[in-house]
Amino acid sequence: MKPQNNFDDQIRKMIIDSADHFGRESENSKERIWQHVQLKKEKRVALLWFRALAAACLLLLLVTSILVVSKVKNDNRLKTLVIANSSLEDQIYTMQQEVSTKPEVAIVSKASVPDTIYVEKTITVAQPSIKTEFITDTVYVDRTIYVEKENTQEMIAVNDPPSTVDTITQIMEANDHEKQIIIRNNSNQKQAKIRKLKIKLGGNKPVSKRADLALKTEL
Amino acid sequence: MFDTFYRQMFHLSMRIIYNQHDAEDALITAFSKIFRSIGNFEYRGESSLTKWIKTIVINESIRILKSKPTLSYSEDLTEYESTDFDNADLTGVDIDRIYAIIGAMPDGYRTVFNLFAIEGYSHKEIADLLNIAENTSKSQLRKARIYIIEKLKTTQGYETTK
Repeated sequence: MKPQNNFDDQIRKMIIDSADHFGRESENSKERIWQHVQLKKEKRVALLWFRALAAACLLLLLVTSILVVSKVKNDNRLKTLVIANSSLEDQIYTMQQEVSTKPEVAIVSKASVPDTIYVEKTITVAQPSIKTEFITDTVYVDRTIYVEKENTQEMIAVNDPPSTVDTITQIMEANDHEKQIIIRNNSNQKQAKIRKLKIKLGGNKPVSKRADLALKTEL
Repeated sequence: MFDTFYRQMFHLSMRIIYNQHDAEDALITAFSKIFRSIGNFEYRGESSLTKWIKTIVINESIRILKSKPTLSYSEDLTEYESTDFDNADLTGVDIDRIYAIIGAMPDGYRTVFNLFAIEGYSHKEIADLLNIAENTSKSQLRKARIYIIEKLKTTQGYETTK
């Protein structure tokens, strides 16, 4: 903003035109001002370093104090433990001394103390056991069946008395060197004869084809 | 940069403070700030750089001025009631006399007169800068003008057109 007054304008113009009015003073002060500016700059850098150093020192102090406090705490705890340990060792030593010097008293005192002891035992009880085993087996029996000729068979059947039981042993000399065992079921034979050997005497009626026996009877 | 702006800034600081030792202190602090924060400056032409440096020097000069007990905004001007500064003619006045009168002014007068008449600050900007009311700035300016004219009346070469 420019001065609005003529008076101010005149003075302003005069002062601006006389810029070298303080020339001598300014020249005297120039070097000193520059040196101080440079010094302040260096001081500022030094101040920055000093602040950083101070911060580092504070940090170091803090860490050191924390370590010292923790060390003191640990030392106190260690001392307490050592004292307790020595006290326990003394107690143990005293007890050992008492035990070694007075064994009888210790035994008596042991005997006089009632106590309940629970003993766990395992009792095995033997019991008889009956065991039935079923064994299934297959037995093979060799059986030789001889079938005699028809004539001989019927002759034996007629001569033998009728029987309901099986005729087991009939030894015949069929050949010179063989023995024959004939097993026959007489009941079946009897029934067959009842049905098939019907012979009628005195007639022309045909007789049984099988009835070629010498004695003809009617059963 | 220091060589380029040093003389101009020294002149500016001396006009405000009117003490070589204090002006040196103001310039040391101001140039230290300039070199430290030059990276934050946005270049918008040659005048922008000059204005930025001038602002820093003025602020530092006023900070040093505020730290002195001599800075006061006196309302007492009963002995100078002249109001004919609108018709003043300073063409025949020696510049050294002007500097002498300005240097002899109270600090409040001189600061407001320098900022308003020479540097072109508004009363609001001056009020914000010096932490005073705008009316105080206006009254200090008016009293500074009267002070100069009353001192010039006794000076050879000063004339009034009225």
